[in-house]
Amino acid sequence: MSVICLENVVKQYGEVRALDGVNLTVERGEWLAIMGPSGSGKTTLLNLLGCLDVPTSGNVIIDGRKVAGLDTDGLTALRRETIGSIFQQFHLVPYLSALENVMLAQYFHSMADAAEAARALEAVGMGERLHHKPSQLSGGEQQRVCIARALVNYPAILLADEPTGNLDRANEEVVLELIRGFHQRGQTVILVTHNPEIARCADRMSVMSYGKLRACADASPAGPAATGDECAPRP
Amino acid sequence: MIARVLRASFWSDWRRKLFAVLNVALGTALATALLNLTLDVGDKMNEELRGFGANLVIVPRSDELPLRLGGVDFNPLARRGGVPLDRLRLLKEIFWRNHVMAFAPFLEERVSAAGGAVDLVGTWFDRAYPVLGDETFRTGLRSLNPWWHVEGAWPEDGEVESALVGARVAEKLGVAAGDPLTVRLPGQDRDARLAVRGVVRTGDGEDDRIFVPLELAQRIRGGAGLVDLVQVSALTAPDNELARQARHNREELTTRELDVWYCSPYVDAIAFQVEEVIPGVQVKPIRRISESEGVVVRKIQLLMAVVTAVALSCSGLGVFSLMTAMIASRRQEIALTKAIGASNRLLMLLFLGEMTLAGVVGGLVGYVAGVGICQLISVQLFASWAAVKPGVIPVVVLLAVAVSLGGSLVPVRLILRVEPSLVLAGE
Amino acid sequence: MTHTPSFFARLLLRSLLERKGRVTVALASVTLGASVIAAFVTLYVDVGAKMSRELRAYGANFVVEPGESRRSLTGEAEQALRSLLPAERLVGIQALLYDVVELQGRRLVAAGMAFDQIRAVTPYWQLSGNDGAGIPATGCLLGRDAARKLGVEPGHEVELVMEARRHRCAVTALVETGGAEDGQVFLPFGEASTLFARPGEIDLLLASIIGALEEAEGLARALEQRAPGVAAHPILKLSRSEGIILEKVRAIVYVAVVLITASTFVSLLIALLAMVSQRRREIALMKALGATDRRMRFHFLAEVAITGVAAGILGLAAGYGLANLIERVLFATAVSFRWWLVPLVPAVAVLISAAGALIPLRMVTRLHPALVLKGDY
Repeated sequence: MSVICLENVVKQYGEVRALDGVNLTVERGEWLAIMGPSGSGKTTLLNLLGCLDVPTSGNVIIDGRKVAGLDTDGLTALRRETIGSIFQQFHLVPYLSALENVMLAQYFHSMADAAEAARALEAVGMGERLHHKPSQLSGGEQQRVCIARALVNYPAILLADEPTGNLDRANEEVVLELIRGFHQRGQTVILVTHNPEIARCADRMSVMSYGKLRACADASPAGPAATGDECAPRP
Repeated sequence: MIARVLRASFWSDWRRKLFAVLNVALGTALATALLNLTLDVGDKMNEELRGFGANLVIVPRSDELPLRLGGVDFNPLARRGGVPLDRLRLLKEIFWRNHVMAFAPFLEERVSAAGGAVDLVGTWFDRAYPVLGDETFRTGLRSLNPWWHVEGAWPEDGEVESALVGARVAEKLGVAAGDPLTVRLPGQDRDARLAVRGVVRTGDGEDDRIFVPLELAQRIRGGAGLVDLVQVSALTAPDNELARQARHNREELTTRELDVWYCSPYVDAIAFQVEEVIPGVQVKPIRRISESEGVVVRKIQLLMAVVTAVALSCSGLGVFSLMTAMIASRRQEIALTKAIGASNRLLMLLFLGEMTLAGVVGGLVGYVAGVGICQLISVQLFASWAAVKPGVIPVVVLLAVAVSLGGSLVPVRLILRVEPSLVLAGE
Repeated sequence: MTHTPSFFARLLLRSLLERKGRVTVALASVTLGASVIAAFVTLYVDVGAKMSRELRAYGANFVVEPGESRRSLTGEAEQALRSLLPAERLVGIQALLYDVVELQGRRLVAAGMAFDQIRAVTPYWQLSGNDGAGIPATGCLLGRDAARKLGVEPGHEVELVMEARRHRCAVTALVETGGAEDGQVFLPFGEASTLFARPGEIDLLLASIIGALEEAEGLARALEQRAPGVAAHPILKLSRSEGIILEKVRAIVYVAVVLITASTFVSLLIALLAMVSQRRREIALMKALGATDRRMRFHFLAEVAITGVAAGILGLAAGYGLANLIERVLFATAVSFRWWLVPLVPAVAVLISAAGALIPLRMVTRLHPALVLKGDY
């Protein structure tokens, strides 16, 4: 059963065709790495996968639901039910503590629960620093708060946009370990990176280039296997 | 090079900056409009207060004591001379001629009508009076008392045998607007049939009189062009200490003080100048009007001053808020320009320069808006167009610049606090 | 959507505290607006009554005379007038008694009056020759023209003669009004009654009252019923002019309120716009985390409403102070506190804030989370 299914997806920004007929299927529990140079359409693809945007044409089906027909609120609802995101720039709210940043995601999802948020932070090793502001945390610690925030609502898919881009070697390892743990619990991970070493942690790897996605030759054994049936929405 | 980078930096994102400038302009425009309004409305209100009636009266100089009591003259034979009618044009030739808003001569005769003796007063109702140059000046009873409540219509000066009848006389004689009124003119063989054009009720002495065109009263009086008295309505400045001193003992003033007094539109100074040009008359301020007007005008000026002050401080705060917002939203740009070597001084000057520009634009826009609002109010309230004074433009623009700079002075210091490194690091 | 009040409140508080500077400016601008509105509304309500009192500088605006069949009035008319009008609406009443007397062999009009009512009923009278000592209580006042023509100076003793009766008095001051009074002589009412041999009679009552023309006309009718044989009427030309002046002053204050509200509105709009544009990233992040537009708007409006209410309450206090200051400067009186302003001003402040937030709110809605998260903001 595929959790993400893209079918001939086109995204047009004015004259620029950012995505030019992308086909992609991701199975539940799979870890996909997407690589590609700047301007190749990675971010656009990630926005579509993260339910932040709708395609100009083609089908995007996330967790069995079709994105194309959704309005802003529908998109938002799908996003908060299904997706957890982590970013290169962390994007923590500067005036909220680590705990409150995690609670913010709970608050928008359903209801804030301090105990559960604290458990999520403990799970990423931040149990001691619940009440620190982002400015009082190191880059690695901030990214761990982000991961806690992304995972606190038990999303089906984790989207990671250059999660280690701003981190040193040691913190990179910590973050990757956390993602790996999530994946091992059977969840789906989409990771966008420039770094081939990090990409190699994934089950398989695809490369974006000039708005097209192609499977990478030296990818891991599980190759792309898209069929029309699997792309059909769940009844 | 730095200048070029700075210029490029400040021209980038011009849409947003234009918006900011327009905002300042809007704020200043509102303030300017208010200012314009208060300046203009103060003047308008002064003119409006003239509606209470004449504030000067010209009477002949005489040794007789008037003896009128309850409408009866106990000394009717005392002819008190008169005010020469042909000298009235001098009222529009003296230094304060433009302050003379209206005047009207009065000639009073007692005549008999069917219901008893009545006082007939000859005057001008609304006359085009030739003055200096080729201009004419519309004046008369109607300009003196614009708020009189007349049932029917005002008589026309051209129709000699028409009348405006005081309400009490009208009741006594049983006439109303449109009726004829027959009166016997002393010293003439025939009766005069007056057409009653209107009835006026003022609640004062006018209710006991019948107003007719001056020519009719002159026909009764005979004699040369003398009238009993002339009422004058003049725009005056409220009395101050100097004016009070001059009133009580003019001799004690220094020459300089006397000059200042003479050249200010105090009611006594105007009276003094009229006495100078018309011999044999006494010009008396009607204190009931002139004194009270001073009190009220001063209040209204104060009210306007308060409104203006509040308006200016409001827009100063608006500029303050805007400037704070603008600098905050341009922190990155400021940090960048600082990073490439721009001094705080230069940046502050640049921002203040922008605000000056905004002030000039705002001042001009505000002037136009202010004139617009003034016209609206003038037409609504005063039923006349406000005078557009182009001379005010520089003052208004300077004031707008002052407000926008004044509001910027504190926020512009925020520039000092922008750390180039901090902002470039992405907060 | 389930709300967690505690976290919602916590978020609001943090967000407001974070932007102390910006919130202070917004607060100040709404506070100023609210206080100016409170002050000017108070002024607008008061200005009629206050200016009306100022306009009493024009003096008497109400006349009571004997009716057709009567030769004179009595003290009853004055009593009736006083009983019909609350004290604060009655500035003063002057009872006058006139007759012709001889002074140094020349005839002139003499009037009996209450000297202590001069300031209230005819405040424009110019007195001279008493060294600025105010209105004398005794002696007699002589019109300036009469004094000049008779060669009498202040301080001189004069003798008023009527038939066989004589009254000696010192001229305590000269009177100048520009009207008939300049040729008359004035003495205390009681002395005039004796001199004229008309005890208990009054020729004319002049009153200075506060109120619109219609009220004065109503008063006249009521008085004519209460005291038969009198004819009362307002001096229409004064009352009507007063009405016109008051209407214009009110209109000007009204325009000022509108313009000042508009300029407050503009500065608030600017502050809010800046607030939103500074928080674009944060708003986009919250949207990316799953906040709906509706919730973001709600959140933003809550912040604005808190600011508005706080500013309204502060503005009410400041406005009361400002109104007091203005009225003290303008009319030398304090304002009365108006309870209906208590709910009104904060409500207006919230309304202004909410209206000022409309455009920024559209910005919130239009803000696309994806665009901002790219780091390009």
